[in-house]
Amino acid sequence: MFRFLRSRARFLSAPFFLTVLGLSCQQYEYFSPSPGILEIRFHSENSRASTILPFSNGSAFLMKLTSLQARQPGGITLPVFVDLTAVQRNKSGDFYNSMSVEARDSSIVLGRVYAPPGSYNGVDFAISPSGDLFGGIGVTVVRNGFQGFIPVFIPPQTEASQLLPKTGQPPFSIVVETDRKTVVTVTMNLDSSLVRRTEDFVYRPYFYVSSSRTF
Amino acid sequence: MKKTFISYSRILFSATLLVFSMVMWNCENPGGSQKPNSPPNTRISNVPPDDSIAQYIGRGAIPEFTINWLGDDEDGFVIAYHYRWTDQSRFGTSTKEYSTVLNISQIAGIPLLSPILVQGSPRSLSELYRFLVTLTFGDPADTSAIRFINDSLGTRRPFAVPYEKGPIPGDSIKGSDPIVNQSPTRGTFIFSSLADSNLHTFEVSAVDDYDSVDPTPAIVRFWTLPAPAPRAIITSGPPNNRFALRCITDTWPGLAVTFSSLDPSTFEQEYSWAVDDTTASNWSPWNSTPGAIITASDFRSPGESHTMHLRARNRWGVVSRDTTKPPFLSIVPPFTEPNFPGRILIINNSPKLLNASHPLVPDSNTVNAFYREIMDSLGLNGKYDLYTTPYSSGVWPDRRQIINYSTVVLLTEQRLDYLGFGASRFWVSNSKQLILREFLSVGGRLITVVSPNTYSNFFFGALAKTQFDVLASEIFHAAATVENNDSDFVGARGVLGYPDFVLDQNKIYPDSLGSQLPGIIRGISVNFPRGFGETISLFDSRTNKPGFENAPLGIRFLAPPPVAPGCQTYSVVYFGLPLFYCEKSVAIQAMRKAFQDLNEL
Repeated sequence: MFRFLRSRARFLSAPFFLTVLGLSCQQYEYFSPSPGILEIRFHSENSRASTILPFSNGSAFLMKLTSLQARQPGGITLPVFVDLTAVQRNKSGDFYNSMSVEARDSSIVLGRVYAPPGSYNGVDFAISPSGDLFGGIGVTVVRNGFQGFIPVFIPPQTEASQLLPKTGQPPFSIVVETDRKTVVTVTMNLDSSLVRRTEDFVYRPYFYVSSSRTF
Repeated sequence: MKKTFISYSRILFSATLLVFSMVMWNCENPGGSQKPNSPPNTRISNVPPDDSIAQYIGRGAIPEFTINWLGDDEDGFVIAYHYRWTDQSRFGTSTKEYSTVLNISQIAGIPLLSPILVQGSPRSLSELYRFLVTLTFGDPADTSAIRFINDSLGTRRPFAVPYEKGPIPGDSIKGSDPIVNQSPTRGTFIFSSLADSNLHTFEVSAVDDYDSVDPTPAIVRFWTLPAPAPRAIITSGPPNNRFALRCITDTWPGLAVTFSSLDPSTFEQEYSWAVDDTTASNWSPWNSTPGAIITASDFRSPGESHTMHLRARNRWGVVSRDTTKPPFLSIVPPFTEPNFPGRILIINNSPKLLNASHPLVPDSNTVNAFYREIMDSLGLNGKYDLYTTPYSSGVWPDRRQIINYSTVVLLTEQRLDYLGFGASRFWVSNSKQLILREFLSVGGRLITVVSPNTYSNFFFGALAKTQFDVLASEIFHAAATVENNDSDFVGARGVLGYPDFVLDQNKIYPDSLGSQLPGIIRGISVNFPRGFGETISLFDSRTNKPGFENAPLGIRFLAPPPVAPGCQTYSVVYFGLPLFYCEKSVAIQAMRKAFQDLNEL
């Protein structure tokens, strides 16, 4: 009898353990919300458009963007790439013309990303002026139909990294909602960023988040 | 046998009792109090022990001594030394603050780069000492502390001591200068020796592990003679006969002066300078930079003549005699004064005919009358002077005259680059350009009216175009000038508030000499602005010639707003054409706008 039971024990124990295991498991309701879309745009602000810095498609002050991230409270960052399908940024940087009509009209898209719903309170990016084909850094302006070039001096200690909001800037909250698009506009203030000297500009970058809207 | 054993036992017991009693009697005093801590003892172990003048002179009369000291503590050990000294001379007595150097030469087995000085007044030197000497490499926190301390000492930064419970406010250490403190018991110090004879008293006290300070510090007294003084030399500058502003601007770098010094024993000099006034408050702070940039705000005498004074100080604190150079002349532009009313100088540099006016080259009187009328109609009567280059020479107002004006109007009025018999023309030579450039560098303003074939009227010879391009680029802000040698210029379209430049048909009539068509000027250039240059007029081509029709002609370059009053940089309006051949009403409007741009109206 015992030998019978011992020989059957293996077969009997398996269903037993499976039954116990099955009873011990529970089904939980997991909630994983759909992401929203976070889009970051670029805007140029310029009170000298009617004088020395006219916006036009021939005017140019090229900026090279090498990284862009949104930051959540707690320091969690979300990389923002060029579009929704990209997996990384262009390693040599992405170039944007801060003197173009598109920059004036906030229609330059720096990046888009599927973002977990929630609140974001920072935008971090690295951006710096880029030289022209001849290596000179400056502003190309078109006035009376003719192009001119104004050199830009970049002080040696100027950092590309911009962590918004900067000290002294008001805090902001960017809200990303499920299945909705949040458009954040980062504004470059050209009045502050390009300080006039006698023969050139001095680059003192000043960026801030000017708006955040959910559509 | 038994007896013997008992007697041995007694002897052994007695001996043990005796030894125990002696030990107890010697080492413990149950009824008494703890023996008080004995203060440490300090002594100075080397020269200068009560030094004599002769010995001092024998060492080169250098007021710098290395002193060794030592301390011991009979019931503990020495953890630090306090030291200070007093200098006495006929100038008075001065006593240095105490310095405290810890008696530590390594931490966790790592030799220190320099001895540790304690800053301020720590609550307990012994606590500070124990914290530092018990640091080990085993504990990550200690390792971190050691690294920070060594970093701090290496860079001689103050460092708050991180006790386990956190830094204690006021407990701060720093690395000493290893040239001064070579070890906790050895230092080389400079003793102030400004008088003919100077008495110094050096004292040092040891501190023991109970924070007890030696009440009888070791003292040595010695004498020094005056230390050798350096000799200050003004090696170059300030430049003579220059304009000077009260501040450095983008275009005016200031007046540069360079210094050096001669000193028999040291190369470590500091300099202090003053202009005109040598009262104590006027000297600049001591600085080791062998040079300075001077502006008019440093001048202390009202005239144009100023004197530069320089002093050098060596590492022993001995100051040289005041060095001067012959006075230098420096002119502060009157237009930088806030209440300057504005003055305009018109230089008529047009070519000259000996006797009569010519359709291609108006005589000086005609041009002057034309501009007088313009200036008077603008309400500038009495605010301008007219200077006409004489027929016989190309003399211009010199820099001393020009600086009395805030704006210079430079005229070259002619219709064609042609001169008949008996005419003379004077180019804008290098020396004249230098005057103009210097005037502009301190914030002067310039309006330029030019003739056709401009470059050949500015310069002479084969390099005329090349030379003019440099001037045009740097001053007029034209990146490129292209001359139209066809009979093509019929006027210009005004931009930025400038009028359309309509030619005066009474002055533009055909003649056989220039193959001129009616109403046309030949040889006008288009000028493409650079940088902050702005187009003020566009070329009107009779034939709509590509590259010229509506191309930029006149340029204005306006200075940015000044950072400080009187620190404005220069502005230029370059018309690029001869205004004399425009309708007078146009010339008036154009000049009005130019003067408005230059803040003269």
